[in-house]
Amino acid sequence: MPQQQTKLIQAMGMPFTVIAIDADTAAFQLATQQIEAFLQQVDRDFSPFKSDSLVSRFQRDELLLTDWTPEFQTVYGLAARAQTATGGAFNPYFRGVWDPTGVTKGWSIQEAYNRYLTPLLQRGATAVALNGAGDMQMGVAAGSDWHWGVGIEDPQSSQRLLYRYELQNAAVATSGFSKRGDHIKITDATHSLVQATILASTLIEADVWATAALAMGRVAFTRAYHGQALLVDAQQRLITLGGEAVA
Amino acid sequence: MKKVTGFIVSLIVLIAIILDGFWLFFKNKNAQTETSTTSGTQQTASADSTGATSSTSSSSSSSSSNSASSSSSSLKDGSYTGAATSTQWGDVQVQAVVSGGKLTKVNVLEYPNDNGHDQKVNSQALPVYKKEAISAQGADIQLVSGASETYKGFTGSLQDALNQAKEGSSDATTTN
Repeated sequence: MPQQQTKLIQAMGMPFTVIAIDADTAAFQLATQQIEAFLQQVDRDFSPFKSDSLVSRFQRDELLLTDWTPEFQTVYGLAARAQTATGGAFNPYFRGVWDPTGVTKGWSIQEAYNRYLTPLLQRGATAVALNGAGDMQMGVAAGSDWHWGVGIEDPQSSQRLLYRYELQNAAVATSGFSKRGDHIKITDATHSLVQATILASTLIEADVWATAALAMGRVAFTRAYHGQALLVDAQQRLITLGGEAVA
Repeated sequence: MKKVTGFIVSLIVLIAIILDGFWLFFKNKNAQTETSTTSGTQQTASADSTGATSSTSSSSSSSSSNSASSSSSSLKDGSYTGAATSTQWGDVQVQAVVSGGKLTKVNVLEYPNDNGHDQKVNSQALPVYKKEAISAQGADIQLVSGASETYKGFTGSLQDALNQAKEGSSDATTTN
């Protein structure tokens, strides 16, 4: 019977669930403390709601070159790259000012996972995962046959699941209009989607494409993206992309 | 002759002491004032960046030297290029252009990666149920992906229920 350790962290106004299977208890606790400290730091640096964050100071043109931390450079570069990769569907200027929030969340989860959870896999843990408000990065130890059971929420009810994936080393991101539709502009209303779930190897990619899918609509998205995805359209139909039959 | 050599030796020692004093006090002071004028009010930011730099060193060792060089020469005109970050779409580097002592432009240098999609997701996607909703408790599920955003909305969510169920059934060390 595998032993599961779970820790809930509140940061950036979001719930982060850290899960490890068969990990050393002390190592797990240390990792969760490090993840919490990292996420608080990301919040201080990248929150657009904090007036002294790097992002707010950049928006006011007050950010000195000395303040461009390696993390800020990374997020700035990712936001620009995400915009070109999605043909502009992902836009860090969607509010008129530069706001990288759309990549910050995915990047911070992926970064925290790489820095603090993957070392546990080398130290005896079977599997580790970090789920930040529904977007997650997960992995298993080399040679392990453990599979994460990942449920995808029904956009009509957060108490129901639509789908279940079995994954080993992967990232999953879901975007939807049910709760956070305000920051996405629809470019194709006739083929609009209400929810998009993307499976990729890194969460940054999954997260950016999940947002882009909602903006693009089904037709443009399926033309632009060639990975695995689970879409729900306005008629509540399930569309699976990437080797799966349409349900 | 002995007196002359003695005089020369003591002169050299004196010069050495003066030089040493110069390097120790004047140069150090200089370096300190330089950093304090450039980072002045950004004391916390510089502390953050050093902490962050040390923790990223495992992924990119060049980032620390890069940020150090850019911080010490922040007032000189020119362009400063940060460390490359590899992403799914290729490498990304941020380049800052300084003129008149001010940051005037930020370029993002991109090196696209043609085989971006060749990186396979090490995963098996198994559709279990298609039209009917599945229950999280019945199926073997540890993680829930959804569009829910806030911490407030988390209480009572499926992930919350799963976390609590695991807490109760095993000797998990969950603390909130």
